[in-house]
Amino acid sequence: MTDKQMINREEQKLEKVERALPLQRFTPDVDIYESEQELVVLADLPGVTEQDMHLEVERGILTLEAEQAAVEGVARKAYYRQFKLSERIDADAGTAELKDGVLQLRLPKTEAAKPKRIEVKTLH
Amino acid sequence: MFGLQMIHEMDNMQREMEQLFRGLGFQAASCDMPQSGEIRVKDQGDAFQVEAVLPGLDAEKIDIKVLGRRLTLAGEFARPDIPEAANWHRRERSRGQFERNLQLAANIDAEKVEAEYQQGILRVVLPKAASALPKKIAVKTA
Repeated sequence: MTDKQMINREEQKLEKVERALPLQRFTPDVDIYESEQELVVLADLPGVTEQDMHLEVERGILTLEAEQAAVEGVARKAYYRQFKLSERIDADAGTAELKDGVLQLRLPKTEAAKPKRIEVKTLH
Repeated sequence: MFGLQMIHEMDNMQREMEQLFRGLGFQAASCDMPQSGEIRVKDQGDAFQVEAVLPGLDAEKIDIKVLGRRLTLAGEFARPDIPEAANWHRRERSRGQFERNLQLAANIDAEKVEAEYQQGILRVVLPKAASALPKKIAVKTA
């Protein structure tokens, strides 16, 4: 077999894999807001179940990743987005829930980052 | 200023380039088109299947109507409890109300329409009216 034939064979193989598992990649739409206590991320992940979802914070980088389980005859969707979090966020204390295709991630701020009220004493 | 930001987006250019080469080459590696609101209609022969991508809807306010061959999907996106003093970093998700009208290719049997809302996807199965289905004609032989 010549090199060219081998390359052709490789390509055919690749093509088959692509056709068998069509995968559409999306950047999920997000809402992010910050209150005095926490940072909240809402991400649209339609068609994703908890098992498909992969969420992690490593070295201050939040990764949202999800890939739909294969369903016969339907193009799968994959979602991916990354954010860098401030050091003033306590990611370990974060909570996440998935409802109606929307992920809600709550990331509390560290104590030092929360606003503090300072009492003013009046001296008489 | 930059150091004060609680969150900022990572640049995923490299990943996107890799995906571009890994894929067929002419497809966009990541699709930034609005996913919310995408509607697919499939003709399954005796019924239509309509799938609408609508993450975060208020399930109680979903309103589906069928008249003849027209399907109306309406609803409202759930409003999350957001404190008034919140500081916004990103605001990309759909909000507010929506209404979509679809004209299907055949009359619908409105009594048998079924709908479900799961994982942010609204699926409606609309069986065609008996008058829209093909009839088999028996041929008499002498």
